[in-house]
Amino acid sequence: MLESGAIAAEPLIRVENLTKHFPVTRGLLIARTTGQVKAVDGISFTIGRQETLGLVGESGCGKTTTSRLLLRLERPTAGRVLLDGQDVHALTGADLSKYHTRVQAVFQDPWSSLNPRLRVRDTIAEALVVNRRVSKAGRLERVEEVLHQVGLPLAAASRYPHEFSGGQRQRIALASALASDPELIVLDEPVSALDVSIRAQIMNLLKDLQARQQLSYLLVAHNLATVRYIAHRTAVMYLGRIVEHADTESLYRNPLHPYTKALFAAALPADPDAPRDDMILSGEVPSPIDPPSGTASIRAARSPQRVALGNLFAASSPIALPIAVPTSDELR
Amino acid sequence: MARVEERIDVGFGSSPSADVLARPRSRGDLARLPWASLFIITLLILVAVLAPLIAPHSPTEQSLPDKLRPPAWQEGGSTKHLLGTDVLGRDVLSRIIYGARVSLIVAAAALLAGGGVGLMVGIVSGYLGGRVDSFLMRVVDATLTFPTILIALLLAVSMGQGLQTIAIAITVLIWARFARVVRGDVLAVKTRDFVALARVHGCSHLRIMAIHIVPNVLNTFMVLLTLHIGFVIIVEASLSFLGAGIPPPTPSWGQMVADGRSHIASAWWLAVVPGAAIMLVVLAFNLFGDWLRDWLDPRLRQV
Amino acid sequence: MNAAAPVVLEVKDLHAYLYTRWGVVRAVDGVSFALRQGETLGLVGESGCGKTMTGLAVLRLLPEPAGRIVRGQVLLQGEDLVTKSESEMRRVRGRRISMILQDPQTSLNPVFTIGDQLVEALRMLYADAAPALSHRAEEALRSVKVAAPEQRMRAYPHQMSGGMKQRVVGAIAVAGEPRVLIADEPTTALDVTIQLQYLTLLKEIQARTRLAMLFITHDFGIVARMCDRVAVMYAGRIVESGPTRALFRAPRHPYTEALMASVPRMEASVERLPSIEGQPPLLHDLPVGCRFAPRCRYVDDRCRREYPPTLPVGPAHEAACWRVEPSPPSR
Repeated sequence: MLESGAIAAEPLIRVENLTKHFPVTRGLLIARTTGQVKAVDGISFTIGRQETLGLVGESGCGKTTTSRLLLRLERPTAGRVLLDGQDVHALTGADLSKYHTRVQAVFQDPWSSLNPRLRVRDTIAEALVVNRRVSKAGRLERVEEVLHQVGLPLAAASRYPHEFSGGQRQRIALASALASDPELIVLDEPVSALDVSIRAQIMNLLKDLQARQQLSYLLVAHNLATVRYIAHRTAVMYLGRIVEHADTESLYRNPLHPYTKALFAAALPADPDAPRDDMILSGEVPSPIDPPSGTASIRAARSPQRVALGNLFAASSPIALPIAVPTSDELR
Repeated sequence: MARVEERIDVGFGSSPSADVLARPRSRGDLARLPWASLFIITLLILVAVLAPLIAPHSPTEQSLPDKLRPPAWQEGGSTKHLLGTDVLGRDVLSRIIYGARVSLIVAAAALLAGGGVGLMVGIVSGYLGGRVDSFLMRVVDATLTFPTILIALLLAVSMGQGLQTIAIAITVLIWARFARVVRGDVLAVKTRDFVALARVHGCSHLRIMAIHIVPNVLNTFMVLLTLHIGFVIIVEASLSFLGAGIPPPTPSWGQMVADGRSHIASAWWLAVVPGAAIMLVVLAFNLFGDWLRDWLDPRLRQV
Repeated sequence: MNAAAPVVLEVKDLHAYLYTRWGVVRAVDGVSFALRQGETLGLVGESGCGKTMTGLAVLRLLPEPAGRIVRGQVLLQGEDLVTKSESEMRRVRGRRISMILQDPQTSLNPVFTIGDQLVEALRMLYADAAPALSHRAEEALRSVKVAAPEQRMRAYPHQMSGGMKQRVVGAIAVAGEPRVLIADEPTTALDVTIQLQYLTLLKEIQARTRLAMLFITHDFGIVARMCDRVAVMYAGRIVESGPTRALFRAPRHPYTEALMASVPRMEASVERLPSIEGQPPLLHDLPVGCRFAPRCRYVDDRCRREYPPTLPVGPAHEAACWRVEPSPPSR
């Protein structure tokens, strides 16, 4: 059972009613707004110190947009992101610089995360160069320090990205995120583009780093097993909303929301004798431009699982589920 | 979504266990250089730079008794004027040599100016997007629809003949092409994760453009430059041919072709020799540009 | 899976190399397996192990001119595909053996409608006139559970989701009623719930047509669900193969064991995930001896000197490792 570190009074990150709508435009010469993509539709969560929050869901659920909102790569339509009580989207000047040193990121694709024209040391030191007055010697020292932390040889510093494998590049990306000694690292699918055996290496590295330093992670992933291994708490997203949110063990042992259950059921366990209680979701993953108003339907293929939602479920008929789903907190 | 790529990485780099296939230093590359093009280009540059030293005569020195002499290998020619003389007795070879200077200077100036402007516009337009992009691209579109020679002639007429005028005229014509292509490249580079990460690191837009965008579009830009040299030389030659270019007596290949036109039946060398020079140089640059693009391209895909 | 079912595809000692400027890449270096009618064989491994190249080699689709089949046989219902001419292969592909690929984006031509692409594929197979072909195309869409096929025929690929595109790709692949289908990571780019739909669909098609499937993947969950037998590849060779259940319960090759151990499970929580140190070897510079030796926790001298033979470890289960206690083969 993963236990998160000491949680201070105010969590490191507090997200309140975060919303992001993208306008859909039509027309070549004169653009008219014909609709809204409700990428993120009023979500709230917190991340404590030395804690990992896992954000899972399928494509279009809004998890990537959420991570971008935290990184100030998008501006929210409504709601706030608070770092130690301060609204991150209202920061300017020295406060903004400070923010950039405290919150960093690692993205999915190791082949596009590094500037091929820059030497490894320049990529790693970038956050330092931009935000702090650190001498050249100081920067080099720091670069060597983080290279050591991620398990790469010092000689790597003067090389170019193309000389490294996928797994090594992700380590470089991680080193570059660690250089400014951040408190939160947003990990957007950090291992899904890597080979299976390399994933374990990187995941172990992430856990070690968190234990040794005061690091929190927002782990955005679609692979449920990865999230279970690293995250203390997990939130499940669907169509821009969080449909279930609990500490990881409780969630995985006893998922309550039908979508969560369907998601878990669809994740194939590596066990040929595992019971196949399929809850096959019929139809496509709905588009966040036009979310089904009213109901989403889930059809239980075989014996349905009894849920505390009471009579909403029947043996083999389509189950109509109001889209404004009660969260698991309300269910308990 | 997870995309596991089965990469047989025929990559760069000498990291021993990094790539599935790490590439050792290859000697085969030297054999693939475009030797002929490089030879001609080097020759051109040397000739232009060393003109005063290698030209047998002054290009403007007239010698009426010697007029219209054929090249040395023909009957009536002499080794004093290897490529013959023109209607005013000026040595064709020397004029060709000095003409190389004109071609090169105009090409360089116009390309740097036009290329430079085009690069900046392309980067700003591509990176900032939105209204800035729309506006700039409309200006580019408008520029691209100008009839080339007509505009150059108009400029020459209004500003007077001279090296400066031609350089400006060509710049105005070229920048739009560069802007358009560079912008396309920038749009592709912009979507790569390292640009987003640069913003997460706190980089300003200016820093991102300078350090992350420009170096990654330089390859395309350089290829474009080389491929346009031929175009620029021909534009200069055409303008001079039409009488709107470098004023006499400074020799220009285009001017020489124009002068030689009326004598084409009797003194063929007056038009053919400069014409051949233009053709060779343009061809050399084009072939070099092609080679450069191919040489840079597969590497681009690796990174 | 029925052991009495006839063998439809048999690959014998296949060697496919890539001749590059930097050396000979031995992408497929002695691969043998057999596929029976109605059976699914999983080909598992990490990137660079040669699994995709194996699939391409079977269909004679190796990248030219660098790729070449150097040795071995690919027997499709007894006929050796390696010796066939290109025009003969064109009649085989799509009709008797077909392939679906990972990326639905690039498998379909973006400038043609779905209907056009289906009809074009069908035209190669049936001599019908246009209206009849159109009708067949609609039927094909219906068979892969695409709703409202008549309307979908006029849609362009970009108007469809990834899952839908993969179904169309699947429809095109099975239109010619092939005996063998090679699926190369077809669901890697799909959402997990869509993946389940798709895999279920493939199973249904297989049940209906007794199709034999070679399923190339790196995901053990998919293997557990879809495959009757598994072959694990490493550095161009198969290091272990056997019935799925047997392999999962007791993997006998150290690589299989280490690989499975390094995959996190969502069914159970674990403190620490064992990972495999090091990197796979360079395919143009392979060590003598066992290729997994540098990373193997059981390695000894013999492993480094000699490449182990493939030894039986159970019914229809074999592994290439010196550690293995050869058990008497029982069939």
